[in-house]
Amino acid sequence: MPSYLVVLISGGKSKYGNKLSSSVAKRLRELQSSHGDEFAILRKILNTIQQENTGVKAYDEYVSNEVIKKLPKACGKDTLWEIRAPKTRRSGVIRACFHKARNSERKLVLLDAEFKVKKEPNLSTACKRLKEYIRDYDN
Amino acid sequence: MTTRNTEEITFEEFLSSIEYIPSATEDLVIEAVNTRLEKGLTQKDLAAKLETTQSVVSRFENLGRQPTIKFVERVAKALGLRFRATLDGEFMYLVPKSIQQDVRVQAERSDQSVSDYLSSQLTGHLNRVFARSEWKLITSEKISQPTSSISPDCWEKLDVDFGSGAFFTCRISHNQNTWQIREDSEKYNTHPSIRAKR
Repeated sequence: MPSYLVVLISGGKSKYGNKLSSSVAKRLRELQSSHGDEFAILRKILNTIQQENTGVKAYDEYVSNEVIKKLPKACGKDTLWEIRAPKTRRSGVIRACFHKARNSERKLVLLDAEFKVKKEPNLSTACKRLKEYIRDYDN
Repeated sequence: MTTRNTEEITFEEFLSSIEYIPSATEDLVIEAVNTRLEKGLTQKDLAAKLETTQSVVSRFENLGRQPTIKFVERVAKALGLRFRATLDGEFMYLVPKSIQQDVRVQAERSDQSVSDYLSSQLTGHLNRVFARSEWKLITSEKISQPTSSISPDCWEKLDVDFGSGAFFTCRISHNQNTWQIREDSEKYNTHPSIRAKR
């Protein structure tokens, strides 16, 4: 059974010449060096949902456990999803926002990631990148 | 300052770009989660098999605490697997998931355990690559008469036909009518001249 594919867009200019916001790859790199344990959990989640036979099952299980959650109306009519790695931790969790590509539901586009400790999520960057992604890659 | 153009990259490509090296525990946990899901088990089911609670399984799967080797052994057993570990991971080879079933079938056919079958296959292959000790075991009876003439009691390089379509370029000794193959012999599946034409 085909599973999910996780992709991300690095910063700079899109292939159509439009300028993109700062890179999600850079954010992830920073998180990997500053919060290695939580990054390892994020990597584990993304790896398991990409497995050929069990990826979809893993995704559904993460959704039912609320490790992966829908953020309705976070960016107008476009739906954002978030992954929490781990789901809860007193010292903080990595929140990674993603979008399910319109042209392929099994393609998950990572838009932003942040380390969150008892604060409201900042979704503005994710929304900005989502608009850019839809404009340049997913229309 | 020039701005480079971007493309979609996969998460795996991103990990390679930052030269991410996962810990052994991370890969173990990913394998455990995948196997559990493959077998259609929930965390609760696995916990029941382990005679523990779901939160223990959840903590293990979320890398909440470094698991002990004993616990990993129990998880493997509960999932119908056998846990084996080695200090020198460089020499541990993981068989791709896509061919594991075929390997299992072949092992059963040859009446060997999977690990014994893999070990013999890998050792056999590496011995052929390095032309090692395996050749020492081949006795003179298996060699048909070489076509070239050689002087007695000296080592010479010859092509030797083994009769099954396999040719060996060997250093052989003709001593008291006994042909011996030295361990630095090279094996070809076909005659070197045929191989060269391909």
